[in-house]
Amino acid sequence: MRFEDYYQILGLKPDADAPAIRQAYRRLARLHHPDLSTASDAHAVMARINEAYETLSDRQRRTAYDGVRRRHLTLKTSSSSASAEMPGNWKQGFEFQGAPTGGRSGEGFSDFFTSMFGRAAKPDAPDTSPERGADEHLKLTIDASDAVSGALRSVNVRSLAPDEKGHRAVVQRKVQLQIPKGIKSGQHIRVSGQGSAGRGGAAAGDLYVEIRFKQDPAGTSRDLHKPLPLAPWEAALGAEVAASTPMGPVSVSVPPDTPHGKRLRLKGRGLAGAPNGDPDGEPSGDMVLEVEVVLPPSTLPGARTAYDAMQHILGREFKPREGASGAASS
Amino acid sequence: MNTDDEPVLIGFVIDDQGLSLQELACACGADEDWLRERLEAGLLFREAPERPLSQFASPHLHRARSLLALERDFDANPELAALVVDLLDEIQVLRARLQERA
Repeated sequence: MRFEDYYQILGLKPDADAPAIRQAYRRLARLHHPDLSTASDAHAVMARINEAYETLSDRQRRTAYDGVRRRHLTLKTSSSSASAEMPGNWKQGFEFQGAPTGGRSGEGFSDFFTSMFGRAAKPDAPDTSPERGADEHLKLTIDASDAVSGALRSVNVRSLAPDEKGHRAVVQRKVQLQIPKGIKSGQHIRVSGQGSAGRGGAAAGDLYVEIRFKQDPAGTSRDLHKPLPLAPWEAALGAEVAASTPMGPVSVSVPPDTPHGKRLRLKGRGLAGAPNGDPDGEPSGDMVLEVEVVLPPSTLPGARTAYDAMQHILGREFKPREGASGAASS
Repeated sequence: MNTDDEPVLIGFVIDDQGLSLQELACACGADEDWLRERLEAGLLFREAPERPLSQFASPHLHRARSLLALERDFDANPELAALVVDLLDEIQVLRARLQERA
């Protein structure tokens, strides 16, 4: 297991006081907040920052963590290896009372954090008064087409549950989630009893899954996006090709000289609007077909001859790396 | 583990049945008073509804959780947190439009 240096993550010295920790967290949260950062790993970076703050801003957790950190640094200094991996006995003599709160902003914790604060928590006392388990949240990005007919998607659910010794620990399980037909980007699915376990025999919390479409993360559109693979001659000469839509198959007219990447919009063929044709409701979206020109492999019978002929006939005039039109400029 | 061995979870879209104020508070990890105050101050909506709501849907859950996170992480006052959430929503919409036009 890899050691996490929470001070380093927040850019702090080990003797930083509470206001400095809060200030560092806010500064980094502004920089790396997934809603603002355009970095592809913004969620992961923010999760590490949250985890570091969750630990260092809690006095009890920080004390426990500092002990583990000191031991890690001592072992690292005495060992010839400069590995960041934790030795097998890293948690020796360590005890922490209290489990993680389930994450800030729905982000998960590292194995390091879970081992320290999840598994080291004490078992529930026998006289624990009944308390419903916490609701848990996760986000799932799906393809908009999954919402057309419904689908099953694998998700990792993290929640608090008693382990074999009765300790409340973070457990992760993989489940298949039924995506309801017709769900929109931005909507939440509620699954009863799949959140964290309750205490003292009380009911478990619920699981909320926020759905986002890959093509429409803001949830503002009812459009469906789909690739439309075309043979080079279909794209060049024009063709009538079949495409499937939520309302069934349709014939699409591809105009001559359709370039790769061109979008063909089929009005009203996307996700359905308001049910029962409510005239005041949301209109249906469009189906947006994105043209993908697929080259026949040269290993196909006759393909090499055809490519040779094209090169012979078109090679002088067609220079794709010169000019936007692809034609040679003289 | 084969996906065939994984349990299948079936839930419902909260917008179809709605959440009560108590359920919404519970789903946010907030207490009811905190939520009621934001509701009465009109901070739970970008545009105030024509009549008071007794049932809540996905946008309310999303917004309430964002408000709570901003107030907690940045000690933001409720009005400022609501303004930030409005701006974040606006950024998302503009990014989506930009992506659509790309």
